[in-house]
Amino acid sequence: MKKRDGVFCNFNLFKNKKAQEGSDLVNENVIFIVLNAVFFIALFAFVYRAGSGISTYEQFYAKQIALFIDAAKPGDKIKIDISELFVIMEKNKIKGQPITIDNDKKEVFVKIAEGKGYSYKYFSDLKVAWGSSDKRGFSLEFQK
Amino acid sequence: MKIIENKFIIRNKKAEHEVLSLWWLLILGLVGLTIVSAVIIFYSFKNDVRYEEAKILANRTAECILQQTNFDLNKFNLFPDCNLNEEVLDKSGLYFGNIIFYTKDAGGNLKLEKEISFGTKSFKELCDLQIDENGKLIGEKQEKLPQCYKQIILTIIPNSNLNYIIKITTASNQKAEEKA
Repeated sequence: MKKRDGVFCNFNLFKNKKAQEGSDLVNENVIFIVLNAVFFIALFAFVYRAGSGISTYEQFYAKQIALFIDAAKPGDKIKIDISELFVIMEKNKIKGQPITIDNDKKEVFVKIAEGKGYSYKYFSDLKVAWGSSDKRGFSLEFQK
Repeated sequence: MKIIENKFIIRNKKAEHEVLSLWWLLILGLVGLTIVSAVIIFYSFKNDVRYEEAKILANRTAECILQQTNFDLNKFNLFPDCNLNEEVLDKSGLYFGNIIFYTKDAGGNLKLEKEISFGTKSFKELCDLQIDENGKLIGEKQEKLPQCYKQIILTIIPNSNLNYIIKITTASNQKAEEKA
C-alpha cells in the first residue's frame, strides 16, 4: 500500500496535531489536579482549625469574660483559670497575652493562634483593670 | 462464504475532552460552602450566650432601679445611674431594652408613668413573637431571631411612696466577631 500525502494521510500533520492535543490534555489535567488540591487543602485546613477547638476556645472565653464584666458590680474582683489557653498557645508557638480588654471600645478580644481571633462586646460602663501575671490566672477588677 | 455484518457506523464524530468546566467549579463551590457552613453552625451552637446576656441586662437594670435611693422617675437616667454604656446598648444595633413604669390608679387600672427604650426597636416585635408577658417561651426557641428576656417587678421604690409595676424587656443579638 502506497503512502499518499493528503488531508487524511499526511502523517506529519497527523503527528503534530496528536502531540498538540496530548499536550493540551496534560496541561488541563495538571491545572485540574492543582486546583482540586488547593481547594481540598484549604477546606481541610479550615475543618482542622475548627475541629482542633481553637475557634471554639476563642469564642467561649471572649463571651464568658464579657458576661462576667456585664454582671459585675463596682469593687468586684474575679480571677479566671486560663491555663488551657496558654497550653494551646505554646503548641502553636504563639507568645503574648491571649486575652485583651479594650475599655474604650468595650470589647474583649481573644486570640490563641495565628490568624484572626474573636471579639465580643460588653455593655457595662465600669472600668475594668485586667491582667495575667502567671500562665494560669486572668484577673479582673471593676471600678466606677 | 461471505459473512455480512450489519454495522451502524457514525462517521465524522468528534469527541471533546472537557476537564475544566463551569459546572465543576459550581459543584466544588457548593460542596465547599456546605462543609464550611455545617462546621460553623456545629461549633457555634453551644456558644450562644445571647439569652444569658439579655437576662443579665434585665437583672442588672432591675437591681439598679430597686437600689436607687431618693428615686425620682423624672430625673432617672438609665445609663449613667446604672453604669451601662449608652454607645454599646443604644447605637451598636446588637441590643434592645424597654422599661415601662406603671402605677395603679384607684380603680386598679394600670397607668403608664414612663417608658424608656434603647437599642434596635424592631427587636420588640421579635421578642413579642417569642415570649409572652410572663416571660415564657411561645413555641420553640428561634435560633435565628434575637434572644429575649422579660421580667415584671412589683415594688415600692424607697423614698418614692409609689407602688410601681415595672416591665422590663431586653434582647441581645450579638455574635462573636472574628478580628485580626
